[in-house]
Amino acid sequence: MRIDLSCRSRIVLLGLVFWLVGMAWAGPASAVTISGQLLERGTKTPLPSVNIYLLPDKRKIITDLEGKFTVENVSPGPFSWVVNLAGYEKLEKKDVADQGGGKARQLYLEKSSYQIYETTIYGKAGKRDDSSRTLKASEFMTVPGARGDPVKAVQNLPGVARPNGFSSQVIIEGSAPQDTRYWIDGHEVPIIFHFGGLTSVLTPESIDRVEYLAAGYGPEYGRALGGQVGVWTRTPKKDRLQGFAFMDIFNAGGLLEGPVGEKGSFLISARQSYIGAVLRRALKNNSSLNFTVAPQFSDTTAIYETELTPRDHFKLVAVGSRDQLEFLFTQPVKQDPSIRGKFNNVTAFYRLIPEWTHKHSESTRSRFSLGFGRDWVRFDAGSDYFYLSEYVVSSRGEVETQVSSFWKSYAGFDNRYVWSGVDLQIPSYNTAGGIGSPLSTGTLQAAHVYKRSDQLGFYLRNVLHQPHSHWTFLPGGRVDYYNDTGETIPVPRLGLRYDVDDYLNLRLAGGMYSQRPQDQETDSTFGNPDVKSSRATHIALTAEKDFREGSSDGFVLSGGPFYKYLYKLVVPSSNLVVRNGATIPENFANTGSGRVLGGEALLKMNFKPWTGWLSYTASRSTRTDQNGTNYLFRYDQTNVLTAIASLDLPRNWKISGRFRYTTGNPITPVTSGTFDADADVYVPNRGPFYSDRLGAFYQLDVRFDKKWIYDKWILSFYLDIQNLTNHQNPEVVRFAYNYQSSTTVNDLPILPTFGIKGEF
Amino acid sequence: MTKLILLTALTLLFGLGCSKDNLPTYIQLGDLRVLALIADQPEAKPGTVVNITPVLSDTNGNGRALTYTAEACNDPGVGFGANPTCVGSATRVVIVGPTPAAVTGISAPDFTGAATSTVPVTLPATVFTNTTAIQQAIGVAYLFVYKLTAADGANVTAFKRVVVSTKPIFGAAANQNPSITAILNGNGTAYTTLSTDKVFLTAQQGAGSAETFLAIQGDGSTVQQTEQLITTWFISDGSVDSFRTLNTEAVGYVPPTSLPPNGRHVVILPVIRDGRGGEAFFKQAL
Repeated sequence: MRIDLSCRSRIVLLGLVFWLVGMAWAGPASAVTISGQLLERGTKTPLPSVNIYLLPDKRKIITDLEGKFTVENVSPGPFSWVVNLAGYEKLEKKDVADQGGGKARQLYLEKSSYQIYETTIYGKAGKRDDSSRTLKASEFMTVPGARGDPVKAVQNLPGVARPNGFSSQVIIEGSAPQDTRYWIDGHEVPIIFHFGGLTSVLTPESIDRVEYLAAGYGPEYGRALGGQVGVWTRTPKKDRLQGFAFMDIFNAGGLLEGPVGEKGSFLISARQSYIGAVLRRALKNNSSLNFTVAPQFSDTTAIYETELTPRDHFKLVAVGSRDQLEFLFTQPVKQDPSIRGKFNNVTAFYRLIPEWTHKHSESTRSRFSLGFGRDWVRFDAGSDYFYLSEYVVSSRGEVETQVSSFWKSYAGFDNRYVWSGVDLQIPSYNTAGGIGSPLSTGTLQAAHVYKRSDQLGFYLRNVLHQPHSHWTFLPGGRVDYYNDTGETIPVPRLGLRYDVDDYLNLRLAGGMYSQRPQDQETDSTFGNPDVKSSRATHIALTAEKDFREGSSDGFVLSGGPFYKYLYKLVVPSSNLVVRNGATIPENFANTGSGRVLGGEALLKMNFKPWTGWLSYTASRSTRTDQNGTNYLFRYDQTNVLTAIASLDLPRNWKISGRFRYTTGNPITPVTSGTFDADADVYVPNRGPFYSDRLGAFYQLDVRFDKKWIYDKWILSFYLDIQNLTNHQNPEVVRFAYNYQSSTTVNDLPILPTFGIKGEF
Repeated sequence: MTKLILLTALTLLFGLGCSKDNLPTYIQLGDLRVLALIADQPEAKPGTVVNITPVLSDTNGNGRALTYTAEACNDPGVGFGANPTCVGSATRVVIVGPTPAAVTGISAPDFTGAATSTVPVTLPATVFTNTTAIQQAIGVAYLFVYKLTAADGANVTAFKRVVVSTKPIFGAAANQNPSITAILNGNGTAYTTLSTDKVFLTAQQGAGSAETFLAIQGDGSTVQQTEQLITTWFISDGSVDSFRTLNTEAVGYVPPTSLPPNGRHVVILPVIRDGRGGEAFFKQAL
């Protein structure tokens, strides 16, 4: 049989054959497998356990712990990804399923807001000292006026007085600035702020939290009459290599962190200032002052952390900081002929802090850390100088045990051993009543001092709490030994807490405190080798009410009174004493005392997108000198009010503001001077100490933050305007040469600053 | 550390202080002033009678009567913060007082210069009580307090520490006053006539003004040092680039555009100090 097909029919048949063959090769419906990862946009943080939908197939998949996902049997052709997660913008993205699935997808989910706001965390998990407040650094970066520095942000807390001018000292509840101790990961450091108080000595992003210990602080820390400000570095991120770079008008720097092996991680950051170049430009027309080395600072932080075993954890922190300023007075300055020539100031330190944590059992764990380092201070002023070089070894250890169901105990020690050498030649400097006499009226003193100082403390802290009881007792104490004064001082501490209900508690904290004299105060040339440690007794009562009662929005109110009695204070003495047959100045004596009485309150509010707080402190701090005269303390500020508010706006805008009011600092009136014919200056004749005050301080700061979110990085910009109203806040009284008239030097005028930051 | 922070802040405040004020200028002569208290022997042994010459100015006082009182005592520790007064001191010696004496030698038309009413001060041996031999060799301060009062009640109190020592000892000699012999202009000639343009002035020092001396240390050893002389340029009119100059440095002086009234001269009065109590002055009326 012959089949005769037309040409057209033959083409159709050939096509059919090809189709059948093709179908045989392709198999049934060609299902596609697609894999990928769901990440947070900008930060590239993996998003685990998130539902992802594929439309129109109505398929649902869930990301794993690394945000990864795999979808099988996806129909070839166009489809859409849909992700709807609380706190993030909805993602709808078109895609095409190709043969073979194509390359792995990366889906980026954008957060509703990348702006974060400060919070204060009280007495909950991880906090054991009822007198402390902990500021989470990552949530405290954008407070106006704090320049992104969580340590500086401590100054917004109740109980903290406003420091003068460029100073960033933390003055706690009527105590002196030198009565506050600063530490990093539990180890004392000589400074916590760079020159002029612009910023702290650590990159803010390397800080986990800042701990602020005020009246009635617990026994783990000591040697400070006022309180403590401690910085805890954070654990470097392990998920991926990441970092940022930034620059503002003061400095620039960067941070890099990431995993090391499977269990370790690292972080390294560095900053370098260029404020000196700005100042040099500002002063280029000042012929009497030449900057030879412009003011500058730099710092470096490095952290390595790893899990040695499931029970052992190791962390190594290295911190280095250097500040330098050098200039030349081409002529003696107008006010004081002794200020002339080269002026040079270098302050530097480094610390290496290894820490080992061991979990002995479910109920017992221990921590041990060391601090190795050096401190340098070099100060040249004309022919006068002060050179300090010291080696520091410190240690800290603690065993934490759950002794029984109602008793938890912390036993530990801390030690600081210092070898120091000092070469100096400087005039004695009289600042009685806070009024400095010209340096040229002082008696020139020179010495070379080599000294070893050892400070050793043991402490015991107990937490006694019966299940279901309203009461918690926190008895404890510490013993401090100071080798330079030969003293061993036991100091009891006690805390008491009553939980009225889940949202209201009352806390009582108190104890005794000691503080060794400063090195120059015990020096045989500049001080008095017979002076002993200063002492204090604190008591503080705090009530805290959480009006939120479980919800995220609402008020939290806390506050209460505090009282401190300070005694055996080391105060300057102008007496002459006979020692070893010679008449010499006494310089210092343990004849001072003081009292501080006050109350503080903090109202914290959260009504998204609004957040804020209001802190207020009223206090009175007095001192009594060696003659029995009672006067206001020079840092006494009757009223301190800080209000902070923040508003999150769409498109990652944020606006925040801070308003501060403080009573002006007490000052000593000076109405006349006596001419020192030898020094060619006038010596002030001081009136009653601190019987007058500077004008009150008002300041409004505003800050704008904006973030641009890209898939793999984020660009941030801020504009921070300090003293928006340009209010003239008197800071210092400046006297005529003969002290018969005066004027005030004001704080900074309106000061806009800005910066950018790129993070990946 | 706290003291260093204070020193740094103080230095910056003085150096960089940017407040605008109308405070009176230190070197501008006008009000009642004590410009110097010059002891004929800035350092001497106990028992020596030292004569102190006050250098005074009352340019705007129109010749009002001036009186003074004077007293002395062991230094209560002024260099360490004690008030510069002899009131209450067991060693107080009233030299002139309580009735004040007239100041003489401050005359028209400039009412500026050295008073001829000098004050004799006897340096007592009691100043060495409870001092070591090394302290006595280094020198112990004896405080001299001078109170100047104008007829209308305006007053100025000044003090000086006369060094009492056992020098010469350990090879170290007692300090001597520096001296100024002339004010020179930029070409090295005496500046005696008021110029119309800015000139650069130097205080010509007498021979041996900047002494090289042996400073006795606390352990009795000695260190050779050379004095740094600081000159303060007081002026009645015009302006200067710097209030003070070091050693032989020049100061730029811009004369006034018009002469002072009432026949008063333009006065330039440099006072030189050696940092150890030695002083001298030179008055140039132009």
